[in-house]
Amino acid sequence: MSNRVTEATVKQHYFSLLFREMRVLRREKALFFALFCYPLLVVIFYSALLSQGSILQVPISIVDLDRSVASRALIQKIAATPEIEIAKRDNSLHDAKQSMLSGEVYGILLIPNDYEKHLLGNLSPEVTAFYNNQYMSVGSTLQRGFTQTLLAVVSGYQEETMLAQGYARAIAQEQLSPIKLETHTVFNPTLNYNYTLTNGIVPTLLQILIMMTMVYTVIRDKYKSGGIAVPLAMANGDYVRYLVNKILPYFLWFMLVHLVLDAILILFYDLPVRGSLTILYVGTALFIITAQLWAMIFALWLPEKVLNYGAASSFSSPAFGFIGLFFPRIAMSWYAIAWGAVLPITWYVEIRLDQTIRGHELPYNLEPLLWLILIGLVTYILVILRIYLLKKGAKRV
Amino acid sequence: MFKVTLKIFLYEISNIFNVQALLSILISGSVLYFFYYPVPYNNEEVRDAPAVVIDQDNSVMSKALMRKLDATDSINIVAQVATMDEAEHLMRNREIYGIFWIPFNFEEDALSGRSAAISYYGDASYVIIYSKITAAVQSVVQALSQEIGAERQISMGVDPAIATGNSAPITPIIVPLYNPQNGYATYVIPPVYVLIVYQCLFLALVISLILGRRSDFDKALVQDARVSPLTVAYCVLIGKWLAYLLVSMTIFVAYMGLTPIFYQLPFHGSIPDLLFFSLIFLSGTIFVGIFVGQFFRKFDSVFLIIMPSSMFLFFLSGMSWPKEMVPEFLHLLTYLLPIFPGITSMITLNQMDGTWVNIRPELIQLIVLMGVYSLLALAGLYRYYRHLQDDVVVQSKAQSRETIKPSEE
Repeated sequence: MSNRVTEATVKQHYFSLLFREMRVLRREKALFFALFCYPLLVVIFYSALLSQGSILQVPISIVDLDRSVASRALIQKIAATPEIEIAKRDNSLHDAKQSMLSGEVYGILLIPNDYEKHLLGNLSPEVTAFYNNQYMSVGSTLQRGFTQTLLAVVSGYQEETMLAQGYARAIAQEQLSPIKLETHTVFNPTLNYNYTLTNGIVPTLLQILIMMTMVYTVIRDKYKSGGIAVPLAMANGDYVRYLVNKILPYFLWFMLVHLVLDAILILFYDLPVRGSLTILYVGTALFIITAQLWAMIFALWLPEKVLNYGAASSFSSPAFGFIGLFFPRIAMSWYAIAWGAVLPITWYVEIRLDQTIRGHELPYNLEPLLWLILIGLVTYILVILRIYLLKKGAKRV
Repeated sequence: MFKVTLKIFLYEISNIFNVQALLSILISGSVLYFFYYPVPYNNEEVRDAPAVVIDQDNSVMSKALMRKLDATDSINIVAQVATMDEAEHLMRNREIYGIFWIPFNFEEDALSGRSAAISYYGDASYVIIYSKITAAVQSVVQALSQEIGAERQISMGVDPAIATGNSAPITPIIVPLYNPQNGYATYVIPPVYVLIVYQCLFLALVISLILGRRSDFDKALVQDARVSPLTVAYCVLIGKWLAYLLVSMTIFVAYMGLTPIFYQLPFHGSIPDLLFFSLIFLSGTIFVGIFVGQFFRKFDSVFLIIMPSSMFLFFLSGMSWPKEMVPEFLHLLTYLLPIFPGITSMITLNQMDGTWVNIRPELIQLIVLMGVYSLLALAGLYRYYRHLQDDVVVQSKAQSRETIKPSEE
C-alpha cells in the first residue's frame, strides 16, 4: 500500500492526467480502434486505391458504320490513346448507349456511313465522340483523350493533303498551324491525382478522426459524475495543464500518422518536397491542435452526447467540399468561402500543397499559417471560457 | 404474432420521434444535410478563373488574342504584367491560376509564315481549374490558327473551298452526356445524397439497437417462458423493418424527388420507380443495420467507427475513381454492402435515364444482399432474445422464490 496514489501526488506530477488518458486508451476498444487502426487503414486504403496515380484506359465502345480502310485507321489511332481502351464494338448507336447505361463503357465513338468517301471528297465528315459526364472525373479524362487524338488525326490528314498538293513537309506543318500553343503544366506536370487527392483526402479523413477521438475523451470527463471539475482538480485547477495533458497523447500519435503518410507518399509515390519539411510540420502541428480545440468546443459547449458527436461530425465530414481541392474556392459563394475559412483543413491543405508540389519560399505560406494560428487562438479562448464557466457552475452546486 | 409485430412497429415508430438520438440522426440529420452539403457547389461550375497576360508583342493580333481569351466563359484576364517574376508571384499567392506569355514578334511571325508560339502556364495543383482554362485556351488558339492558316493558303492561290477543307478534313464533335454543362453539383450531389440517406438510416438503426439493448420493452417480450425466442426475433425484425422502412422511404423519396427541383439537376426518374427501388435498397440497409448493430455495445463506438467511414464508401462507389481501376481486394468490398449497387443504380435511373434492364446486375445483388442480411439479422436477434429470455426467466424464478420464502416462515 506504500505506492498508493494520493491526491497530492496526482496534483504534484504535471503529466498525471496524461497517464490516466493512456489507461483509458488501453481499456476502450472503440477508441483504441479509432485512434490506432483507423488512421493507418485510411492511409493504406487511399494509397492502394489511387496507386495508379491518374485515370487511364477508360473503356469505350466503337460504332463503326463505315467499316473502311480510313475508319479502321482512325480506330487504330483512338486505340493508341493512353486514356482510352476500346472495350466493345457495337453495331448501332442504340446498342452502344445501352452498354453505357449498364456501366460497361464510359464513352462511344461514332464513325458515320460514307466516312471514307466524304473524307476523300473533302466534305469534312463528322466524327462524334460521346462521353459519360455524370461520372465527371472519368468523363473529363475521356474528353481530353478524344480531343487530343481527334485533333492529331485532323492535323495528320491536313499534312497529308498538303504533301499531296506538292508542299514540302516543313512548310506544310508551318502553314497548318501558324500559331502554336505551348502548354506548361505548372506544379504538377504529370497531373497525378495521387498528389492532389491523397494530399487532400487523407488529411480530411484524419481531421474527422482527430475530432471524434477528442470529443470522445472530453465528453467522457464531462458526463461523469462531478463533470469536468474532477479532472480539472487533478490538474491542480490549471486550465492549460488540463488541456496539455488532454491533447498531448492524441497530438503525438496523429503527428506520427502524418509522418507515416508523408513517408509513404514520398518514398513510394515520389511526391516531391519542393518546400521545407519544417514548415510542413509546423503546419501539421497547428492543424492537429486547432482541430482538437474545435472538437473541444463541440464537446464542451453543446449539451447531449448525440449533439456533441453530431456537430463535430457535421463539421468535419463534409469539409472536403469546402477546401476547394476539387471544386475550387474561387467559384464558391461567399458563405461557402467563409465556412471553408474556419475549417483548419482548408489551410492545412494549402500548406501541404505549398510545401510539397508547389514548393514555395517563406512569404507565400504565411497566410495559411497565420489563419491556422488565428483559428487556434479563437478556439482556445472559447474552450478556456467554457471550462471556466463549467467549473464555476460546478462549485456553486 | 401479428399483434406483437404491430406493437413493436408502433413502439419503434414512437422511438424514432421521441428518442432524441434517433430523432436528431434520422430526421434532423437528413434535413440538415440536405441543405448543408451542397453549399460549396451552388455555383455549379468554374467561371472566369483569374489569369494574367505578359504581352511583349503589343500588337493588334496579340490584343485580339487577349480579348478572345477574356471573352471565354472560363478565363478572366485580370491584369497585364510586365515580367514573368511578377506573374509567378501572383500565381504562388493563388491570385491567378493561368499565365499567358505572348513573345516579341508574335504578330509578325504569324503573318509572315513562320510559326508563332504563345506560352500558357497553368496551375495544375487545382485540376479542375487547370483543365477548364486549358480547354478554353486550346479552342481559342485552334480557332485563330485555323483562320490564319486558311487565309494564308487562299493568298497562296489555293481554292478557298479546298483551303477550308484542308484546315478541317474531318469535323470532330465531342458530346458530353448526362451532365452537359459540366456541373460539379450535378456530378456529386446525386450519389452523395444516396450515401447520406444510407448512413443516417444505418446509424439510426445501430443506435436504436444499442439503446434498446436489455430494455424493459425487450424483457417484456420474452417474459413468458413459453414464447419461442425465434418468434420474438422474427416479430422484432418485421416490426423494426416496417417502422424504419416507412420513415426512411419518405426521406429517400423526398431527397431524390426534391433535389432536382431544389438544385435544378437533371432528373429522369419517377415516383413509382423510386418507391420500388427504395423498397429493395432501404430494406437491405435496414437488415444490415440490424445485423451490424448486434456487435456494438456503446453509443460512442458508433460515432468513432461508423461515422468516419462515409468517405471510404464514396470512393469505393466508383463515382470519382472508376471501379475498373480499384484494386481487386478493395473491389470485393463493394459486393458486401447495399450502398454500392444503390448508388450506381440510382445514378443510372435518375440521372442517365436508364431503365430497369440496365441495372439488372445491381438489382440482383441488392436482392441477394437483402436476403442474406435479413437471415443474418434474424439469427443475431434470435441469439440475443434467447440469452435475454434465459436471464429473464432465471431472474423471475429467483424473484418468485424470494417472494415465496417469507410466507413459508
